[in-house]
Amino acid sequence: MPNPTAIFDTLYIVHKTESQYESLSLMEVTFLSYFGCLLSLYKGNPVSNWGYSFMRNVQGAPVSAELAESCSLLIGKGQLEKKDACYHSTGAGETRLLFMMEMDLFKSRQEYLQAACDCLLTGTIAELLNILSGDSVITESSVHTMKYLNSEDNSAISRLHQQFGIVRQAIGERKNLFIPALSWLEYLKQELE
Amino acid sequence: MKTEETLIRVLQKQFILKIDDTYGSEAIDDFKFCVSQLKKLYKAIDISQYESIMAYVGNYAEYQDSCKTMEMDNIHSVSTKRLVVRFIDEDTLNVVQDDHFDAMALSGKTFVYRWRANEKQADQFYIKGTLHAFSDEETPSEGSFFAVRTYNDLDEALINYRDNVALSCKGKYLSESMNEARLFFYPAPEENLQKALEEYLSIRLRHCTVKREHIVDDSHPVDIIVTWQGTSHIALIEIKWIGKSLNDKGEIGVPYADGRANSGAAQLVNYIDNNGDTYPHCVTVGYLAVFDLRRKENNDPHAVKISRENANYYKEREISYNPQYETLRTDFKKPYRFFIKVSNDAYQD
Repeated sequence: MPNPTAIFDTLYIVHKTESQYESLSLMEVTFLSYFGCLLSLYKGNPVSNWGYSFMRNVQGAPVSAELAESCSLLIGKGQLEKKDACYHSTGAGETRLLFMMEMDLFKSRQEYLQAACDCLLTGTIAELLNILSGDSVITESSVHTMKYLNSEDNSAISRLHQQFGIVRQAIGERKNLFIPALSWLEYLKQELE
Repeated sequence: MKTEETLIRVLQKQFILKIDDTYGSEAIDDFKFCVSQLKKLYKAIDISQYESIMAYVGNYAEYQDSCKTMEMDNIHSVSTKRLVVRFIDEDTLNVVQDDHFDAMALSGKTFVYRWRANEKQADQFYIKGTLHAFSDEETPSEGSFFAVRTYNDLDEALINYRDNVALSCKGKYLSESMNEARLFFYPAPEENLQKALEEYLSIRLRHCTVKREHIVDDSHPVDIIVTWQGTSHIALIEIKWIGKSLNDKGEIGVPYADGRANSGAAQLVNYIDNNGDTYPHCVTVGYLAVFDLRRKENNDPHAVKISRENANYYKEREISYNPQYETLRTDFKKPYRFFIKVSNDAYQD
């Protein structure tokens, strides 16, 4: 059964990044969606609100069966095109996205996905992936048990909230989520150094 | 592991907070728009051809009379070393007369981006009369944090090719273009030399297309053209060889030296101009690549040995160019010379 939220996120991320990147790989889409999920947590939403789950693969990257399935489904419907293992949007995909963007179900998550995609303005996607790979939720997840990265009982989520607390203490409350998004990336970067 | 206090101090120094604290949260959307347009601008121009670039967002009456509105795609046709622009929308901008522009004064109302060539931190912003670096890190080799890697990537690739590939004659096509001792080119080595460089660049460069024999005028194709996806940047590479070649009878043909490289440079200038006429919306930059197989006192076509001194006599001897086009025009890069060493077995001593 296709996951409508994952379909929306896939279309949104591919569309919002196309002025900078003509196409994205599934891994890049997944990283940006995962980043959006963490920003939703920053804003105080429970993990279960995201609508689908992530696991960690052997390379230490987040993977999502729902996003992978969405890409295949959207290709089949002509709403995405695939070239050299990367996806780019089509006219039909943009039409569907515009329709979905107006639906209440997908309105609140656009802020998180937008902030995640906006962070590509100040760095490359390779840098972003590199920084996010050092996030505690990913690094503390066990590959062997294939633990869900966004399950509520994940102890790394508590660690994440501690980090968010430090970010909040440093920057205060900011209206535009782009600022906490950049700040949290800077936090991870500092921890990696 | 950094302490919590250190992390907080680092986060509080972030550039984006200065914008938010000074101009309010609406300015964050202006900042995002400004940066996304800067990225587009740097795909439409060759940043290395400018001394400074300033940019801002917003409509301010003091500069309306000195503005010229144009499409982003046409921006490289503006002849100036000091570019000042106001971003209007996704595709349009105003070019502001440089001598009218007071960035310090304008920064009282909005942030102003300033880029300067050859500065360690080239990307800066005026915020309420003070310049702030966009990042504490040094500007990357492409000249700006917002520029895409095109010509810089190609330059790095050609330097690597010179030092690590051509010098020791690595690769099928390059080794098939000359005899085993590497004293003479085989007859008409041009195709193999083109294929050697094309193959290397295709593997080494990302997000671009590398093609041989691209037609730029009625009579001649340029040896290699490189185009980068999503940008208007084009590189034309003209290949020449110098040294001696053998003809079909195994005799030594006409030797080529500096004159050959100079004629290649003049040819390349024509290609750049013709390509610019054909694609006026694109930035065209020319590269001359000269494969150097010169040896001293290398007059026996059957020779398989050479003294170390004669083999390497030209290794550090540069070609003399007149004129030196790279000093006369910004779209002509300093020529690359790929000296090729003789094979290890070819040394007499």
